[in-house]
Amino acid sequence: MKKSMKRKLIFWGFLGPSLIAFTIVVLVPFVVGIYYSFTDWNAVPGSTIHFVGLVNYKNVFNDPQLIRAFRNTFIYSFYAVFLINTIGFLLALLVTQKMRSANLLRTVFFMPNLIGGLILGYVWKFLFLKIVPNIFQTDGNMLSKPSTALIAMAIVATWQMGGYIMVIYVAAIQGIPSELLEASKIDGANSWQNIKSIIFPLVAPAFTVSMFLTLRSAFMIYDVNVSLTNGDPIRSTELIAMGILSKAYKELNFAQGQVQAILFFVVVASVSMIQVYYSKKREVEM
Amino acid sequence: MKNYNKKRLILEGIGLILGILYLSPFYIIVSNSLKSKRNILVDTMGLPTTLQFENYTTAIEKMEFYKSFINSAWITFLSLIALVLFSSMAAWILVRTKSKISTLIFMMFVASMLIPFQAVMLPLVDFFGANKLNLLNNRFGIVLMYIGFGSSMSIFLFHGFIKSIPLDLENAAYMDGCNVFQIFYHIILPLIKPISVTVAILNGIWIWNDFLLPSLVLQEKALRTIPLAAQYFFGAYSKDWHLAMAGLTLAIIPVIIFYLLAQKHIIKGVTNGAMK
Amino acid sequence: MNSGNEPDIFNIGGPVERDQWIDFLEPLTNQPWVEKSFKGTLDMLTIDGEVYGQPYNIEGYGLIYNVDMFQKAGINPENIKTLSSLEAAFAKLEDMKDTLGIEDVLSFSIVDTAWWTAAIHAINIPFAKQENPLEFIENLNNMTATMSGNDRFMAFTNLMDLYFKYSYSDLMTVSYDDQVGDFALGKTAVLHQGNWTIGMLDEIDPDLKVAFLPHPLNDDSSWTNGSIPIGVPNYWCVNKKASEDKKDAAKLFLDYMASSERGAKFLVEECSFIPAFSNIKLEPSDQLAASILEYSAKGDTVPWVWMYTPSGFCDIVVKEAIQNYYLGNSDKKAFLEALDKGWTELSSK
Repeated sequence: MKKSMKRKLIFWGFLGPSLIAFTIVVLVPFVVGIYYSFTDWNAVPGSTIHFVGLVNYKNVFNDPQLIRAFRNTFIYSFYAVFLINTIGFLLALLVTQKMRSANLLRTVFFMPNLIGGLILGYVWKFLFLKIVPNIFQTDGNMLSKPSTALIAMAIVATWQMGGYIMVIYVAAIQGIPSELLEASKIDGANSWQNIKSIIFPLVAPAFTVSMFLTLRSAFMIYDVNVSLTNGDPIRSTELIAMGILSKAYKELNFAQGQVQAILFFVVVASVSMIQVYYSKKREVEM
Repeated sequence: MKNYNKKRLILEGIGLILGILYLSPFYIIVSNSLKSKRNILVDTMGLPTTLQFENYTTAIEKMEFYKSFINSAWITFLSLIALVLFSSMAAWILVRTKSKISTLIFMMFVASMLIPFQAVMLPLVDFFGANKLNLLNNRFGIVLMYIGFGSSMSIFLFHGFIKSIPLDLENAAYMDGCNVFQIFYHIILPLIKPISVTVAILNGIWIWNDFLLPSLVLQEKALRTIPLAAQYFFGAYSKDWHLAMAGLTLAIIPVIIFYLLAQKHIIKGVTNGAMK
Repeated sequence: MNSGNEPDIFNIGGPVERDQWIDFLEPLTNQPWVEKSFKGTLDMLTIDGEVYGQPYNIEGYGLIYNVDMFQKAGINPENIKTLSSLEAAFAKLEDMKDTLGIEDVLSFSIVDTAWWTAAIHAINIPFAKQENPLEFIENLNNMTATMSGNDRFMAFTNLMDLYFKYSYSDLMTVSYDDQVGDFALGKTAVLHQGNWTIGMLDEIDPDLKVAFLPHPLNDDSSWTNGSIPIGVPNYWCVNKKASEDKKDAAKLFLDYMASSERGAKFLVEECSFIPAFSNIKLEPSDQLAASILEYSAKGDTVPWVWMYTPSGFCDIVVKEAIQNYYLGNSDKKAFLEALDKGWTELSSK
């Protein structure tokens, strides 16, 4: 009896610090947030909170800006996932070739990944506003038009994440047994045939991982969004994450902001769950 | 053989061009960070007409660089120590305890990785605010938040690693009369060093660069971290591109130095984290 | 305040914040500086005769013009009190572009770091020129008035057209530094901004001579067309929930800033503020401050009414609507309707 008591103490003692922090920071706000979404909560300390039922949900679903934010987030994600993976894969192909500068190039391509999104966004804001128009001798810039501003954001994300995804593909390509490539070379296959029939299929699992990593990060993008476009022009680049903050801190509509936050959770969690499902399925197959 | 050399030369050429292209944004911000206000308004593309190193002294002063650097370092360092220690403790005890509650708690941590920060931020700020916990604008408050948000992934990574450590060593130590704390400190902590580095790197990159959380909970100027300080140059009345460029360069330098020093660990750590 | 630790003195931006934090506001009606404050500067923080905040300073904005260029072009700024005279002046500047060495007539912006030039400052004009601005706001709130169909707002669209015509070819790319920088570099002759730009103007061209023009909405002399908007950007308030000692110390400090010579010197010389108190007789710190005091002395001022608009109206609704109007996505009617729709949604929640 005494021994099991001690065991319990040790169990909770070791778990305690993490569990307490986690409860205060994640669990309680998560549960309270769900409750708040059904109330007229306004974040002013000391004011009473009334239950209002589904009113906030109804208002949010009727908000055209939310639909726009979702649509624009999907468009942005499409650009970003496509660009990051294409560039990441091509860079991986390049730096796995037998060449002297391979290691140096890896270092260079990965570097932007360590710089925070806010800082990167500001760097690129300068480039898009002051440098790119100069190079192409135009008055306009990519950030000022709804059609190109999202592409500009995807370009920044590619510069940031391309090297990261490259590293994942590099690991996969290096995992390909070299005998396989040698053998096909002896059979007279050229580089493209090599890529198509050997590298692609064997890199496919890494491709799934990268797809979801980039998709999740594209959905959750916020820092680059703030620093690069801040929602301009005509709110066409205000993506979901930023929309929550606009609703709460600009319109001071905290309850509806929280409803958007919950919707955001549902979408991001779904994407992640599909990823887990695929990864598990793959493990079973392998 | 000649054919092979030509192919390699082309590859090296492509690599060189791409490398320069990738690095060009750095060149542009550094060169513009040394221009005068007038110089930058008139000509952004060329090299500075005169080198204005005083842009850096002004930027350091305006963004209170030293103070924000120390804030960032303090918050990151303390969070990492706490995260590595607490998460490894929790993960170890969760692996070594075979009970329903243990499995349940582990599952809860794993499941919570699905919750994006934005889903809880509004109630979180409210909960930490006046009349409640009163921990906003407080360095320890934000460290507590980082421990809370970072623990899920950290426990998950530690859990996976500790699972593969054989029990023999621990059992032998028990026989020798060691208590749990001694075992954890002398046996487990050294063994999990590789994954601790990974956990520290992943969380370190996140915490150092994080903008949204500090922007919500550290409004006091004296507590600003580097991303918050960098934002200073881009506010509603921003007008000084030359100072902004100097500020961005300052914000980037520590990260680059860290990267060049610990490159191998970083790339490995980040890939490990992604593959899990 | 949202942030948790509660200060003894804090600032409040206007009536919307005032109402939100009313439980924390200590009445300051009996403070000595209240009597010395310029007329109108306490209005926003006054409820039922009770004063709750001390004005920081006065600021104003309008069309800042390059005095030398106007002289060279032979335009007398004194005569610009109507929309047609403003248009004539712009047209003349446009014709003389090469002589004056300018690229465009007007530095204006509707986006980026200067979005507020249009969506806060420009939009204020039709509000401020209503016969009774606060009553108009109230009517908007209880839905007995609309912006579409309102004569001031209809006229405002004409002023916007004029700005668009004589400003940059692509307004969607103009940030604050472009806007002010171009004017300071002599690339434009007129700048839609406020007195706070003087630091940057002086830094780029210390010899630049500048003053304010009004922004007229039409040619009707009963529409206060010769005036510029001035207001108080922020107020100091005392935390009602602090201890009595701390409250007394806070009040003493605020009075020191307003009444003592050192306080006044600090406001005018250190902060380059235009003080809101009549007892301060120091020389205005710069040309734009002088221009504002000149308008104030003649009574040619209108208030800052955007302070009374619902949260999110300027930075979300107006910003988007003006950009859409500029891009041709909406016509005059749709532009004003978008404003009404946004107002209704924000004020009814």
